[in-house]
Amino acid sequence: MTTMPIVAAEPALHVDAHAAEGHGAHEDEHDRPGINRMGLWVFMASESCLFIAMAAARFYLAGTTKGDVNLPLGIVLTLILLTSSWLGYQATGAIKLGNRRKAITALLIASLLGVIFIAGVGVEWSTAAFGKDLVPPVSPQATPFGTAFFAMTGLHVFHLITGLVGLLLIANLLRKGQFGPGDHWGVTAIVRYWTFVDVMWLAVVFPVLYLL
Amino acid sequence: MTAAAAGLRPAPRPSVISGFVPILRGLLFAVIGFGIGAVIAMGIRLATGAQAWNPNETSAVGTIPSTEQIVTLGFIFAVPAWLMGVGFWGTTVRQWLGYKTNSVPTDWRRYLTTSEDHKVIGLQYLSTFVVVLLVAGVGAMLMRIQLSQPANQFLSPDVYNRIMSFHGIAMVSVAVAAVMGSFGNYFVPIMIGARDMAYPRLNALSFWLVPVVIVSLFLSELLGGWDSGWTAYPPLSVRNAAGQIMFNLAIIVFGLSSIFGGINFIVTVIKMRAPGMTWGRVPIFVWSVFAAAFLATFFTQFFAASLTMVLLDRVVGTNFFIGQGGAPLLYEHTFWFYSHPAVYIFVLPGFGMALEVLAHMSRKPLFAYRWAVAAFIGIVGMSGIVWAHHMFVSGMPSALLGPFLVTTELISIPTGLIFLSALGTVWMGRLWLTTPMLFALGFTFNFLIGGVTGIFLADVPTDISLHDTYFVVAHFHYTIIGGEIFALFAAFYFWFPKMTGRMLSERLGKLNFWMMFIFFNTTFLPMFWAGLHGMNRRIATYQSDLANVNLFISISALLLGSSFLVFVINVLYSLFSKRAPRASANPWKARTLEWLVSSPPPVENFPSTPIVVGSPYGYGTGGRPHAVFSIAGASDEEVSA
Amino acid sequence: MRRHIAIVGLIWVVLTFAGLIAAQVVFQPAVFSDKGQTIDGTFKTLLIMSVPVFTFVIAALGYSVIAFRHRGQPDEDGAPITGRGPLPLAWFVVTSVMALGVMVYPGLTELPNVVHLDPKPDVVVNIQGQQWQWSVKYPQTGAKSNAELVLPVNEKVGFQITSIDVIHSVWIPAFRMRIDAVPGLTTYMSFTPTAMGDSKTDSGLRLQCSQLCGTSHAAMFMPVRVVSAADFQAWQTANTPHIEPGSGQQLALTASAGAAKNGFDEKALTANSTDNITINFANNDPGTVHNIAIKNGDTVVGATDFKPGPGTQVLTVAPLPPGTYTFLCQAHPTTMLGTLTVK
Repeated sequence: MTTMPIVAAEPALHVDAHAAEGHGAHEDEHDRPGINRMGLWVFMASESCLFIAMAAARFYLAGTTKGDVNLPLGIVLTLILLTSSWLGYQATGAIKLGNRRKAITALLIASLLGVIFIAGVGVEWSTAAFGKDLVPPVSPQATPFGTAFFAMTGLHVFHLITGLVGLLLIANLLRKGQFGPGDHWGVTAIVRYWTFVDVMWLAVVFPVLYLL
Repeated sequence: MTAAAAGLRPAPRPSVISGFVPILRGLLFAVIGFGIGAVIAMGIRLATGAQAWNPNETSAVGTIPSTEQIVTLGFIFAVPAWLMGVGFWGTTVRQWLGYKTNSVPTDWRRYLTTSEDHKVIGLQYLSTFVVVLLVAGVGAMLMRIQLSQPANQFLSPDVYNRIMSFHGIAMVSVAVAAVMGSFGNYFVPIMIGARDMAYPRLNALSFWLVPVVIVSLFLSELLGGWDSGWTAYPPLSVRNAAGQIMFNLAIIVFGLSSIFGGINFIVTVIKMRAPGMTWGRVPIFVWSVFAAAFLATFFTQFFAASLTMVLLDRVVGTNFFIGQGGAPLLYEHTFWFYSHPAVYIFVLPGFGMALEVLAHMSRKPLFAYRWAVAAFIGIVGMSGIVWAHHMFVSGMPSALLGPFLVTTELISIPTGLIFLSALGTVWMGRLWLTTPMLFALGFTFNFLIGGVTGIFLADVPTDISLHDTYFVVAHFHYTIIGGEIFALFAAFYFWFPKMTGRMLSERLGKLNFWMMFIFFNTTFLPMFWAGLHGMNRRIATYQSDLANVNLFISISALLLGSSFLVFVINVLYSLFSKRAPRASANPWKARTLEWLVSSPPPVENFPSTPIVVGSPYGYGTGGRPHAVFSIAGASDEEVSA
Repeated sequence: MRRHIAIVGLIWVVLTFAGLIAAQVVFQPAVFSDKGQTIDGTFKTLLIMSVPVFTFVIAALGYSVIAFRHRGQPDEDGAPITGRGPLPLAWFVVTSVMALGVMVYPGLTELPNVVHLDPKPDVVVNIQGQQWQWSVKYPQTGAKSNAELVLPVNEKVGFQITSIDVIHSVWIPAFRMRIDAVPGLTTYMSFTPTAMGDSKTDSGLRLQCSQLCGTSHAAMFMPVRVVSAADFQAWQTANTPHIEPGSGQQLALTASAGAAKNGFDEKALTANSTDNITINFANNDPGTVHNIAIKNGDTVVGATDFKPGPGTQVLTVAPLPPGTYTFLCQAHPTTMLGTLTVK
């Protein structure tokens, strides 16, 4: 036989008895926790590209020369962020065991450390020799390193602020009784993002500006 | 059960104005947000000892205009305010604060607010970008009227540059988002047997960032517009009128929309395929969107970085591209590192749609399916190592010329595999020359010209002569219009019945195609010649010996523009005339999953999860379906549109 | 199947033949440089190489549309040809060989010929771009022009190019050569003009800005002339500004006693833009060393030696374009300065 009948004719749908309930039955078929986790990883991978782009700009403009950075301050800031991430990790552990109060406290202290970090960056900005001409509206005399420094730390602080807002929102939700041992994705996610912001400082911003 | 059955009074019909409340509220909140940001900016200025606002400052050397600082901070506050007003306050932010959320209406008003249904979002994208395409097309008509004579004064040089710049970015935004945002959003979940995208709310966010972009581009005219093209090279883009910052801010926002969309598609395709849909049974359109999503997710950041650096130079006083140690070529490298992969974001879904239509309308398996998929993956991988072919004459170190020539020539190999697939698919088929099929065939012809002319630009010696001439303009219009937009029209004609439940007129459709195909070629083919004869790009006036060819091009362009009117008439007639024919569930007798449900599909897409048992391209194999549905009830309901 | 393939093959051969003949038509405008000839030759080669590729797809696609079309909706499927056999691999290998081939020739083989910079050009030309005009200088002789670029035929020319504001691009269509003008960088190109001509006979003999640079980008071009060596020498001589010391418009400037603190007596001077400018500086400040210099922004246009008063010094400079300049004593630059306005 040489002719092939068309197979995709009128759809023969066997309507499921559960169909009227809508999408509930289908949702369970997908791995919602896995979907959430994967999305956060892809997002963080994407954001890291932005930091890589700015690091590349730093090297293009200023090579490996370094401005007069305050290395002790930089190390202190690094330690602040590491502690803050560790506290975030404590918070996740706490809510997994149902310890709401500990989780909230850990998140609040982590946030406070974040604020201190931002203040520390502000100190670096205002005291750096390569930066004093960067305060608008003076005519710009910024050095290449100074340009890269302000851009990279500014971008990092911007991400830190978004993380801070997230930490506070989640802490508030915990206070209102949300999340528990079996349902803590919100806490895990914000802490993971907060750690990501920390890693961006640790692996990109700090080495590229302070250590080279 | 209905409200009536429950003994309640039926809900009153919502007024037309109530549908627009979210958008109006969004605009109001945006104005308030802008005000808050502006006040904060002025406060910071006062705190540093400067005047709060000096409207007479310009972006001349050595000054930082207060207007630009105020507008930038105002913008940063206006965007989240807009989002909250248009619906995210009720659906999302309230949840983040621990309050009960508001739900989105289920009637026609859901199209005007933050619906999370991927089909609604797909139609929001489609209607928005068709309008943007037409408006940008009007811009092109104005440009071609100016260029119909060598020393024409229809548009002043500054106005020409601004219209040209707007035309460029508007069309680039259409090219990036029209296919993925409309047909990707609408059909990828259905084609893989899912109920929605992985992140429906993020999907809504991706869409509602788009009006910000469009409005900002128009608002830039209040600040003097911008005249640096869509490429916006500094130092020009650091020195020109203040409208430039609206461009930069808008496109950073557009980048966010693109990145969120990319994340959504990546996770959806990986995690939400129906049982039985192995990677080898994924339709080629889905593969193409999946591949393009990687480009969008990872490369767009570089565009954002380059635009941010220009903004910082303008608004803060950094010296990325000006002043002491400033390096304009840093912008070019960063910008093109994204913008070359961007053209594959344009064209990969175009390839996917064209191949999809070719297969179903030839009633044959997609030829060399695995090779086509490998080609997509190869293009994604290689797109990141070719960017500097846009910079052969930029003054970059000459050691880079050879390597980028090599990589650019190599990327023609996976592109050629797409032609293998297209030609092998139609070969020995049973071709049904409907309007979508004609557009898919036209795509193949046009992209052949576009692709082959790319070789002349990949070759450094010839590129030195052809760069920034109309040869390049012709090349990229052949690949983008001839390629992606023709494929967009193929998809539109193919899927319109499914989305709306109505058929488009075949006669008007064929008229649309032939006018578009003929006048597209008569418009852009002569541009190769003009480029070879000394016409460079982005000029409002030109040498008098090019008068005849430009007049011919301009007339062709106006005729090409009129072919879009045929399209609009076809669409409006089908949507609003009572005599327009209705569409059955499967007018094309195609095999992919969207054709197994009604036209339009039900809200939950499928009454039950489909189980995929075969290839979507199993034509001529005598019997094996692509998918079956789980049998639970005994009733056998026939679904009709 | 075989019949179809044979017909497509035949169509392909016929179309290729026709295409190769069509490709012989001369369509490129006249070329005026050695590298331009290389570039035109490369273009021709690529065009010939692309003919069979183009005609192959046209033949296969066109034949398919005609031979396999169905009137109306098909009632049966096509043959289940999936492409899992050796054909795709063969296509991949063939196209890879073609890509590698065209990459090597005329790609990498011609590349060095075109971008090579002559280390010892006969003529050196500095080109400066600004919004929206070009200015050219010939450092070997001091000739300069804002009106036209003149080059001698059959001599090696080396260009050094920069911009003082935004990115421009130096493009001379008749030479087929192009390189961007970037602020903060000097870019280079070199070639040999091979024929004489001017922009009245060939519109390609123009120096056109080829990178969007703002409002008047389209109008930023300058005529180019290629002339004999003798005419070139004559033109250079005629276009070298001669600065006769003490010539042109005379401006008076005085420094009295205590000028180091109080500045010049005159704080502002004016001049026109058509004549040389001579400043007659009377240094009446006994025992104190002064000089007189004119600056355009940060660039020194001209300066005298340092001499103690009392005495006179004369500074003569070529005509300056309209604008605002600074005159100053370089020994006391913060106190002894004023504005020179050229109208």
